[in-house]
Amino acid sequence: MTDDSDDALASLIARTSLKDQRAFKQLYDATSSYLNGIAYRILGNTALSEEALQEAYLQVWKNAHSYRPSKARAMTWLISITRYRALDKLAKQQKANEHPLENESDAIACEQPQPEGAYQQWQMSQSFIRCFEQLDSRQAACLKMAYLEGHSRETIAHAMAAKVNTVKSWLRRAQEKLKSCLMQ
Amino acid sequence: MFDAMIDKLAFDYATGSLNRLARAAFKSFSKFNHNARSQINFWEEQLSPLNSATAPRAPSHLVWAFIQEEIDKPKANNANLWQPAVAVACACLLVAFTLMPVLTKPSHPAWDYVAVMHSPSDDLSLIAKSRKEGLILELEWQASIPNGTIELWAESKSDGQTRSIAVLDGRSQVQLSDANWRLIKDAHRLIATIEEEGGSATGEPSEQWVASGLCARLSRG
Repeated sequence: MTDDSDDALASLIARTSLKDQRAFKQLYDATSSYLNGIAYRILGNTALSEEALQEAYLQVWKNAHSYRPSKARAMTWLISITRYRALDKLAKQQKANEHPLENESDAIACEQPQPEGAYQQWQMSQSFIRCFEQLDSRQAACLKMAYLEGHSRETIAHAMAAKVNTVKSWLRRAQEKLKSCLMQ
Repeated sequence: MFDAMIDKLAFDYATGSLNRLARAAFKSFSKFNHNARSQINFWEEQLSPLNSATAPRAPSHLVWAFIQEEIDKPKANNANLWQPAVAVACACLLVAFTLMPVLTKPSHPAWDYVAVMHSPSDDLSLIAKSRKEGLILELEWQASIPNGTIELWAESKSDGQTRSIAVLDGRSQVQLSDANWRLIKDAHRLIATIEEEGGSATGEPSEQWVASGLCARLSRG
């Protein structure tokens, strides 16, 4: 992710805030595959991830005026909106249905990413890599399970054969280590 | 102590490990608490590189079709309400076409650049639009116009320098020179500041900025 490409997205969001549908479509074309990948990783289900994606873009359309380039990079803003819509959907689904979601992940694990129209992969910042690598393997695993897959602490505890309080503690230590490292 | 708790909650919020109700509550709280909002921004920004290994998945074309339908809906739903207005508009158009030879004033061309500018407190403050044809800069204040002399500046994409475009003097439309038009074309960001009467004496913006926003190109070519 370069500053230039993020500026281009910020410009498209600014134009979207003026209800410029062409700019909004360009924004969609540039980012939807990437954001759909993120939603899918949380929901593990094509129909649900596409629903979350729809809701996220409608939120972008309605709230583009609230985007502040000084507060967040454009892609971070879009990722956050998508993740929270996907997390909401996951919570609703789990509440409505005692059965776990049918997860298609295994079935499509061998699918290749579709490059057409896909947004270029987010480039992991060097400082974040350096800090993330300093985490204990369990802390890193917990953080990935929570952030990337939307797992609750309870689910993570179950998957890692640990107590919920232990998972809380791993996440808390991950936070402290990351913050201390990132602030250096 | 309170700040440390906010930091923890912001981290939990950004990772997604708060439950739905707690997340909604913390989100509401963050709207009134600057520290909470800025901690959420910090963690959202820092954690986002974790997505780098996520494979893109092209969504079905139906997703865009649905979105398109939704954003067009208000127009469709209000069709009946607008019918009388449409009839009046048609009548006006008919009169306008009849008088076309007299009314030779050309319609305004589309805008070429726009900057959506926010105040230091993050409120939508000013929209600045400009077009090459006629070299016009139009300003739409979205909030009350601050007291004092307002000067508009362009921060250059090329060299990062900030240069004056105009002292606004309460005007909502400014005639640009060719040189100022080039400043807008090259602008990364527009900034409005409060200056002494007549504009900045030093040629540099004061620290009293009232609005700022990225400058986006609207036209092609």
